[in-house]
Amino acid sequence: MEDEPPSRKAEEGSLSKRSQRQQERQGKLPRRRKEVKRSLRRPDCPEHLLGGSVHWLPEHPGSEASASVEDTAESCPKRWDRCRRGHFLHGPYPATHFGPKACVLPNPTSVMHIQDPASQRLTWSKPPLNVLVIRKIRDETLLEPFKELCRFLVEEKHLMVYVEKKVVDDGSLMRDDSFSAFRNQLCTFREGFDDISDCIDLIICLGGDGTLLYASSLFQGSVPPVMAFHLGSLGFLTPFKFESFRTEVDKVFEGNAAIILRSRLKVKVVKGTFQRNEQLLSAQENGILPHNHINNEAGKITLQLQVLNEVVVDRGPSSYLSNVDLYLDGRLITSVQGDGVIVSTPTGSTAYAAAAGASMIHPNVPAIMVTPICPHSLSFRPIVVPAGVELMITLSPDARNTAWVSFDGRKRQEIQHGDSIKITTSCFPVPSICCHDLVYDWFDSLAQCLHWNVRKKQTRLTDASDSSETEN
Amino acid sequence: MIINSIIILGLFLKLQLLIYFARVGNTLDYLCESVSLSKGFGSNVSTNSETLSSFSSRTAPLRTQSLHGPSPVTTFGPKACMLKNPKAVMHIQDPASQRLTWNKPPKSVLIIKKIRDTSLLQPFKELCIFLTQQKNMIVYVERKVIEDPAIANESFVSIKKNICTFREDYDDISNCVDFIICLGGDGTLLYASSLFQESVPPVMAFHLGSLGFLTPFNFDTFQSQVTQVIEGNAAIILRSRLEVKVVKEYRENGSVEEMSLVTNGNKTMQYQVLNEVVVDRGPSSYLSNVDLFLDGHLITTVQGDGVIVSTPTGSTAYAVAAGATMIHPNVPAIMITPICPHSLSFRPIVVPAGVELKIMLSRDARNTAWVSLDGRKRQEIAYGDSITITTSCFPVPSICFRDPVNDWFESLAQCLHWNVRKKQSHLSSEEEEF
Repeated sequence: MEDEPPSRKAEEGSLSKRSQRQQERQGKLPRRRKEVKRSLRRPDCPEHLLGGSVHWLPEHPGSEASASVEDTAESCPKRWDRCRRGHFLHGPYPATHFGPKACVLPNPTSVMHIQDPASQRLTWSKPPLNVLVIRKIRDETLLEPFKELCRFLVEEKHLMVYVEKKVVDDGSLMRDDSFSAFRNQLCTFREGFDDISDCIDLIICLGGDGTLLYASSLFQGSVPPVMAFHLGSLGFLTPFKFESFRTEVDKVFEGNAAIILRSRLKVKVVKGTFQRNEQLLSAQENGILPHNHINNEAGKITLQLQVLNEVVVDRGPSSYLSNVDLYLDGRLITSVQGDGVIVSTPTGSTAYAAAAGASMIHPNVPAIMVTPICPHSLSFRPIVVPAGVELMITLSPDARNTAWVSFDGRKRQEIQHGDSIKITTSCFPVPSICCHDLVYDWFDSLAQCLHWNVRKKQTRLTDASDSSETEN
Repeated sequence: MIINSIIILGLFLKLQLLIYFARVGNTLDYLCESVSLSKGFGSNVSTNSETLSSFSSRTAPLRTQSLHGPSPVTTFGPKACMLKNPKAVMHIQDPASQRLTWNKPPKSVLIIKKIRDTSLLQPFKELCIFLTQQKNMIVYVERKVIEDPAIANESFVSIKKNICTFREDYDDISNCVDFIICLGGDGTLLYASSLFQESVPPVMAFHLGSLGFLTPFNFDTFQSQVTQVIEGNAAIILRSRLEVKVVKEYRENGSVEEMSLVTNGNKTMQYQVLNEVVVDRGPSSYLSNVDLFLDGHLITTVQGDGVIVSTPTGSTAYAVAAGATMIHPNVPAIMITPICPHSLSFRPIVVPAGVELKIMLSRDARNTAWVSLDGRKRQEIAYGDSITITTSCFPVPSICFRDPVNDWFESLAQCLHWNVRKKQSHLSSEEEEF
């Protein structure tokens, strides 16, 4: 008779209920009954201790530590389901009771409630009216698709279409009569001059991963949903095929599209006041900086940006090694000597970081990746840290030159002694609309874009009786 | 929500006070005290923060958001937002603020000591004496530890009387132990994990020589540290484990039969793994050829020496030797690393913790494969057998020395000498030339 499963899941929603239930069961053994091959015996213990408050195993068989058992059909799937009920993409709820007496102190102020990434769906509070179309300039093959799309959106969907000035000022478009007919129905804006962050309800990108980075740079706060089409081969950030754009756009307008929230990094460049005095160095313990040296109130924040791929700190035009210090939550963790360092999001882990030798992280894993570029060290492996940490990069006091920083490949600037770059995960992700499956789309693009583990497959041996293991 | 804003206001005011005091003296103590008091952590906040071994809630001082990352804003632009699905909402406790608490005071301790290491005998004795006599606790040890001939001398006979022994694989102690102390290296923690296939009691691991990855405590000050933990003042890190099921198909007369719907006859073995699952070519010289499925989709075929599926804890074990990046234990992920893949493009990947992976021998494989779980329970995998892996809901709660982030970087530096090299010196002349 199966006892009630120790429900360590948060379906009930409150931790206190669970601990109550656990306390009720003190003294009872919540075990499944399994077929066991060995009889269980009590551990040997001196007689005089038997009377104490130790829980002894009851006479009926309990479960074993680890053994190969013939599972009955009922117990095995049930147990699997018990864990699968908490089957969220971030992993199951961890059991919060450890052994018979210990548990995690419930702390309601530090509990976050987020939607399981695998079940995230888009919905419109009002029907969308304004669409931003981003097209890669200087690519001839995109002109026709761009025209078709604009015509569809303006004439069939009756939407207001925004485009950047450079996109429509293209020479061949100006010469096209059919286009000029509805050209004046498009809204144009100038990058760097006009702020459209509150005007756009939906973004459509044509022509490659760079268009998504551009979209991200236009929206430094909340980002409208992005639908990205590829016209040639599948891209990492561009899951939709252009040929079927009409049906796809219609589906998105209905609502209920699956979205993946691609996390961004919030980056601040602070000029001027970071110092590491010698006296204070001795007062520290293990490199944890005193408070005032991190909170640069006197420092001027010269730049605050949201970054979708990565922040790169490198040696610029200098031939010297770059020499930057890396702090995590106020603690110096290492000094990077080499060409530089990349701090990237999971989305960016398949960009520059992959070239620098890092592993590739699925966009749904909440993490930040730190990768060195050509480090002059035999032991500098890239690391993956939790998304909530705050990183800080400063020039090392011993550095022979200045460093240069760039954000998603743009806004390149010099970093002097005393400047610092602070990086953490932003609360404004880029919501990318998924084509097929939230989790599985990524592997498709790994295979197509990077030819991940694609090679000629070794054939099997045709002779079935060949079991020789000594020849290849 | 009003309470939350009052707490935030209080914290803000305290920080302002701090900034004032910061200019006067060493600020770390003030900062820690104020952070701990305003967050309202456990009752036993020690105000003595001078000693390194103190557990005063020295959480990372400046993090204003959860270690997991900020809760993402769910409105996108003026008109779009996330559809609320109350059935699929996750409640995530900030990993950096997880603290241990006891429902009842702990009474029984399991001590795991590495056998065949003579340097551990004296510390082991001291620890047993401390726990049995000063703390009045019941101590469990594995029989082989007690039967070590080096222990059987005069001074130890008296202690032996108060110790319970159990035999690995025969006696089940999963519900008798309130907490675990490990002496002597990372392997002892793997052993502890193998003994508890469901809920694991909190583990406190000491290193005696050099710092280990899973052993953050220094044995020299063990009395005060063990006392602190028993009093309930400890930060913990939940190290996720993998739940592995090895299903062997029923075979008759050596030929492979079709998978029958009823699981009768198929042998299934289930195991919890703390480090990694390794599938390799065993003693065969042929390339191993295994298919890797994720949530039912085939993602790739691994041809080479094998593949490692590891937890973040295991990312600094075999996986790092195979070229993987190192993942902090608080990141909810599973790492897939190939071992000597015969491909120029097989980079290790990191996938979300909630996926289900399945490994099966490829149709074209020339030989069988071998699987091992945390280096143990090695067995052969033939065509038709499968290994299913997902994250377990039973993590191993390791007690932290300082806090999860600090401890990990400390061990990276000490154990692996991460990025340790002779530092390039500064140029003394003012004029720099390129």
